[in-house]
Amino acid sequence: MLSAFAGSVFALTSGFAHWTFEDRRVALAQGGALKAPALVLDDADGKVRQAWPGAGKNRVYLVDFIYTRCMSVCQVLGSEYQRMQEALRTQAHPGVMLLSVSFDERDTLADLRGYAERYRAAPEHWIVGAPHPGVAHLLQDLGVVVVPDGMGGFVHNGDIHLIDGEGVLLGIFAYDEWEQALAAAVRYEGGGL
Amino acid sequence: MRMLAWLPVLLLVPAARHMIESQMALHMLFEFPLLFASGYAAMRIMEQRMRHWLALDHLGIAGLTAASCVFAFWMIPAALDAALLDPAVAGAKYLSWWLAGFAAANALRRATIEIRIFFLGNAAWMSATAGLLYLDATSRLCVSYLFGDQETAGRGLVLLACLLAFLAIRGPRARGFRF
Repeated sequence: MLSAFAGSVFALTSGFAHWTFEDRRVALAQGGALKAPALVLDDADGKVRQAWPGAGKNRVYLVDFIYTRCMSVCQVLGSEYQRMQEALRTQAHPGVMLLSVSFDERDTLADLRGYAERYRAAPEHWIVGAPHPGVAHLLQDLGVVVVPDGMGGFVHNGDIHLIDGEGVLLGIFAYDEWEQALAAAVRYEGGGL
Repeated sequence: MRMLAWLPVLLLVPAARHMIESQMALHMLFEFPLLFASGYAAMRIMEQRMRHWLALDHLGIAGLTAASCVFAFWMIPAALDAALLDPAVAGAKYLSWWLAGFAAANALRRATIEIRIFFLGNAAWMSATAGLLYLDATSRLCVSYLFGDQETAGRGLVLLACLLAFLAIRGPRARGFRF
């Protein structure tokens, strides 16, 4: 009985190492165990784009999950993505793409365009889009949980996800680790870590 | 007793289940005790018929150990999230809490005062520790719950700890016992 208990805790916490869902997710991502389902987006310009699979191993995406009415973490992410875009523009890393995925079904094309304009997202570096047809599968497979905050908004995961052109999650970075996220993306673009 | 035993049927109604499980405090401090109480009531109904089997559990130690393991497991933040995101884990949660109540109901009656104080005291200590950890955390430990929910649940667990400690020293078998 005690060994059954210890076994369940061992399995749940990946060897008594990760006691929260988020820690566990980060560890799974580091082991390359999480894969995103195919992602087709309607971008802010109304174009349909396929992010993965099929973009190849040399293409990497830095993906964040947002909703355009967000007054908190998405705004911080927006400014960070703007700085990453600046860096990509000056350093020329054609294989690195920024991707902001809206998970809010209320977000219309005009909302997405508004968000993209607010942060001056240039489509050659940074795509803002809503998944096609829905986002539920993507969030579920990546372990991103969105909780309604009871005031019409959401409390959600503000992490930056590094995902390759085949949809494999290569790493997860906290929203204040954009520099590390970008550095990792550049390393992958150059042929792996 | 019979009604209490059947009360978890309430959780089969998706709206009720969702309402309870969307709040961390209700999830931990209403749903868990509800399942436990249901198992407890079921045992009290079946106790007479099962007495030969129950006699195998000397002083109720096995039953109380099992119930303590269930309690400890469901204090882990990752377990709460997994129960909400994975239906198999959710099933294990319902079953394990019900069985914990089922096992504890008879075990508590068989236990000596020392054993009773040991297990209930241990549960009180565990509940207080988990509660204080949830209260102290500066970020959300469960991705499925809001930060404010976590604080409420933390406070509730500390209150539960007080109740368990009270039961440990003032339970039916402890009557007449003075420290």
